[in-house]
Amino acid sequence: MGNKSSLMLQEQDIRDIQAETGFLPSQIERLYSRFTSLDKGDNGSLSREDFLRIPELAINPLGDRIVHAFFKESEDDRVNFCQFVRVLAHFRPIKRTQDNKLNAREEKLRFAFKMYDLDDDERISREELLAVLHMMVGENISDEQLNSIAERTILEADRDGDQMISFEEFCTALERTDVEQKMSIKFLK
Amino acid sequence: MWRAWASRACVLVSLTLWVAGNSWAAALESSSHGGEGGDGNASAHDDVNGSCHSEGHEGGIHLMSFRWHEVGVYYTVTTFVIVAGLCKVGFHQIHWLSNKIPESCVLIILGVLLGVVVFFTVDDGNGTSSCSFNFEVPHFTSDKFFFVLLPPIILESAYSLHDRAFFDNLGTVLVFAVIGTLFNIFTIGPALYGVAQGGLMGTIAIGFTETLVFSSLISAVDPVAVLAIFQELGVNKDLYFLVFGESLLNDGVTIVVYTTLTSFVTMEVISAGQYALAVASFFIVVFAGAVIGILFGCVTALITKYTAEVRVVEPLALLGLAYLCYLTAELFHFSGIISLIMCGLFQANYAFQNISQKSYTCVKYFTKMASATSDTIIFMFLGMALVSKDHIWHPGFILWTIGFCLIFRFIGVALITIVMNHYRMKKIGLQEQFITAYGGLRGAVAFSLANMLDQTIDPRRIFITTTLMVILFTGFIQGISIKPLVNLLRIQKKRSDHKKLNEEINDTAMDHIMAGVEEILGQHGDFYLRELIIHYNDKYLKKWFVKPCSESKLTRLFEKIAISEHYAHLYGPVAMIEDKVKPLVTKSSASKRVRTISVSPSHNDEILLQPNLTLEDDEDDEFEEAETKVIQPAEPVELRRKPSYLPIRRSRVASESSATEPQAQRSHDAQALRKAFRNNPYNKLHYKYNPNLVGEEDQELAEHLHRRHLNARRMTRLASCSRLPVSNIAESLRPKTEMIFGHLEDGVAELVQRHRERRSTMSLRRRPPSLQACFSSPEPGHPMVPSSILRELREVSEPRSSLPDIRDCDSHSRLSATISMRGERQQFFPDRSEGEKTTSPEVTFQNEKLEELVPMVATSNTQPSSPKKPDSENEDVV
Repeated sequence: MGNKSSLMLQEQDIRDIQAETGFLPSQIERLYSRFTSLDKGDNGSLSREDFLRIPELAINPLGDRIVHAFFKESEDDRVNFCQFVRVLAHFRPIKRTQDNKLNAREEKLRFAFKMYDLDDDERISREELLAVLHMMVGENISDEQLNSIAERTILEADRDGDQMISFEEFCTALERTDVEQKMSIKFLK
Repeated sequence: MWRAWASRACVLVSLTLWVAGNSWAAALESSSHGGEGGDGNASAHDDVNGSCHSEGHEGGIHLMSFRWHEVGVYYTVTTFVIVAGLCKVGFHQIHWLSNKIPESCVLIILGVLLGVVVFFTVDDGNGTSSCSFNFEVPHFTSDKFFFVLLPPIILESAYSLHDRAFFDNLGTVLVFAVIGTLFNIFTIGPALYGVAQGGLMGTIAIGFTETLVFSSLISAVDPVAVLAIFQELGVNKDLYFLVFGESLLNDGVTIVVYTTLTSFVTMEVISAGQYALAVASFFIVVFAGAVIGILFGCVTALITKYTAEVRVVEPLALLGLAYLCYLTAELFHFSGIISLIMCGLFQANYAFQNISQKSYTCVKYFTKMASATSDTIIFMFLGMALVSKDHIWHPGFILWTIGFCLIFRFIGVALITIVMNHYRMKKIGLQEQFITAYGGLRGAVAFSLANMLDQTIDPRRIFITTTLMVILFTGFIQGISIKPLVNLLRIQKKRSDHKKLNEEINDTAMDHIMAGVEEILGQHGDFYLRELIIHYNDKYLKKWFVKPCSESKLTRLFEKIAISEHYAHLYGPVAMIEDKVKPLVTKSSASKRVRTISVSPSHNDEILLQPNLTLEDDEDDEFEEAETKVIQPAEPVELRRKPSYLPIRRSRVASESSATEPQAQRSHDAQALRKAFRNNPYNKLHYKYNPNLVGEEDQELAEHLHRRHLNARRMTRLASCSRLPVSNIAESLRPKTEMIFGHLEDGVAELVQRHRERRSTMSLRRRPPSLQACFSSPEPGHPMVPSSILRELREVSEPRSSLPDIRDCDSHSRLSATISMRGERQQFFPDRSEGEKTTSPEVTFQNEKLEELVPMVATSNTQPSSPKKPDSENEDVV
């Protein structure tokens, strides 16, 4: 399947990526072919528009935020293949035999945390939470109600009384959630 | 305990005998038309007999007549159902037994006993009188099973399948249900045939197709049996739905293979076309059944959309249409179970949002009651079926069947999990595989299929007996041993606590994230599918089937939390006292000379609680002091305008030397209190899943208490580790805390020490002051006061006279609430605003008395209507 694309991907690159992310070579090749198919302008990197061109992402309420997460490390608002794979590596299932930093529970949680943290200040404020809630809930809920839900949610997780949810508080609030299972994908080979 | 058990057993047995005897007497009497009836059993009916006798000959008015012919059938059936229900009651009274043996086993045993009684009495009747009986003890028939007993159980389980965990495991469940069942059928059958041909089984004449028919009915895991055992087990949801879902969904396979093979038995030549038809019929049976279920589910949703004015028909619409759906599917010989499951799922998804809370409760309770009754009757029927002259025992065949069932079940599960684990995110561990295989119980479905076998099939009676034996083996041996095994293998148990808002929001967020990642990857996996389904469900289906004003899941969760918090704050302190009431009640019998005094200052208003002072006789002087101090305040100030919890009308100070009848008084008080608790509106709020509906009120209260404690603790922690400088807190809170925490700093540390000592020695003489309780851990017996809190309190408070009763706790959480929530207070603690009006405590105690005073609620003068009062405050939150 990835014959053509693998030509452009050097053996060394594959080995480097494999070492860093823990993906199998076959998975990397598959990801690369997906990457090139998304890369409409053949620039070797993806822009936000490239991502948002995926039709299903349009109905995803968090689509924008997810795309944004890919651009965390890039300076020029473009994502190269390495960055692309590194972000996706968060969603590899955790295996006991393999020790990899990228797909640890904390990293998975951090990715989820970043969905709420709109201004990148490592804290979720009430306004941020409200904005994300607005994206996720449908029409049948009043603003007032949503407001109280947001307040209540902050109150529930907030431990140090600053009316914000820090990452530590976020992790504590979700300590019962099976993040390892829920935020993992079976990557095709 | 033994005596109680014996008496209960006696009652049960005599009841059973009475029913049997009565029916027999009635039958005898009707057959001989009241001829002699002089038997001891029938003597009760003598005068009835007389009237019956005269009825036969003369017309005219009769004051009394005996109409067994018309009423008899209903009478016996109803009596039977009631007896079955009573057996359940009896079983749950015998705790040492119910802990070890599953209910189904006991019911089977009782069924056998009843069967023996019926067997001998009816047999005796047959021998003495040659007339025909119109009397019949209900017994197992396939029709009764499939059309009356099974549907309620399936409907109840369909509602319970409306769960995320089930849909997450749906793929594996389906593979288990279809492939696993087929694997079992086509391994057990040939293996049995091989063994029979090999002569290892003893003499048996059995054909290949017949063995396959038998294996098709014995292979299917039974939903009734699985439900009966697994509900008591309390294993984690994934495992539960894996086994239970399989048992439900294998119905389609079982029906098709069974009917196909039974028709093959009579056929001479089987063409290839027949096989193709059999395969096609599988899809028709399953999918047509599912379509019928979906149709009926949607119709229910549409109907309930317009029932806002006629709430009474809502339960009828749900239950009636569900049953009609089952019957429709059965009418065309589709899978009734599958259609009922689909119908139930659609109802749970759409119709439940349309109906009122009370209709929902009604539906839930009715299905639960009906399924519990059906379940009981089915197992008793199975026991009764064991006592029959028709059985042909073939030990070889029975043993080989049991062996093969077990072996191939384990092999099948192992093979399928190996394959499925390849695709699953959450792997099925070895322990869980073992329980899945071991939990493959057989039950009444198999037995009724065996009963339905054509009389022409030769070894029918062997099949029936063997099926029954397999059911008994799986029910008794596996059913009893599975609980220790679950503990031994350390299977993860079911989580019972409630979801938090954070978790709910994040679950949704994570679903979206994962769907988004799958979209970016171009992999259309589970998350993507879920997202798509949810999207179209929200966009179209919900609009059609659900009332526009229905609330989202998040809103409902929020409301639930908000309301429960509201009530927790309204009733929290009262509930907290219950902790102390219970030991008081139980221990009061041991305490001898305790003085009880209801401190009730003269005032016509209602106060929050009446502290009961319990003192030793040798402390009489101090007691007098305390009493005078209690009633001294000239102008008692109203603590709250609206009492938030258990309002009690004040009366004069009632001092009594309770040494004469302390127990009666106490237990009376406690009972009144319990009653008041039960009437607490909070209890009526949410209904939990609870198979026998045991202790619903207590459960709610316990939950409520737990939350209250957690909340109080969290607040305390918040207060103690707030970032604000301590002086600030002290400044802002002084007016309130002055009265609340005055005098604290002297005694708290000492109190903690004393409290611990008391707890450890379980001393009755001195009770911990209530203040202590506010800061202790939620579980009684683990008192712990963080030193930081003590320090904090010391800094915050000033030595002044205070009110060391349960109010402190409330005020304390108020204090913390003030710190942590400021503006939100109004929102979440509506009752707090009332509390702001507090000016000063009406009762003052000397600090030295603090540890002697016991907050105990005197409820003897509780107003019957009092618990309803706070209801009016509900609007604040909802």
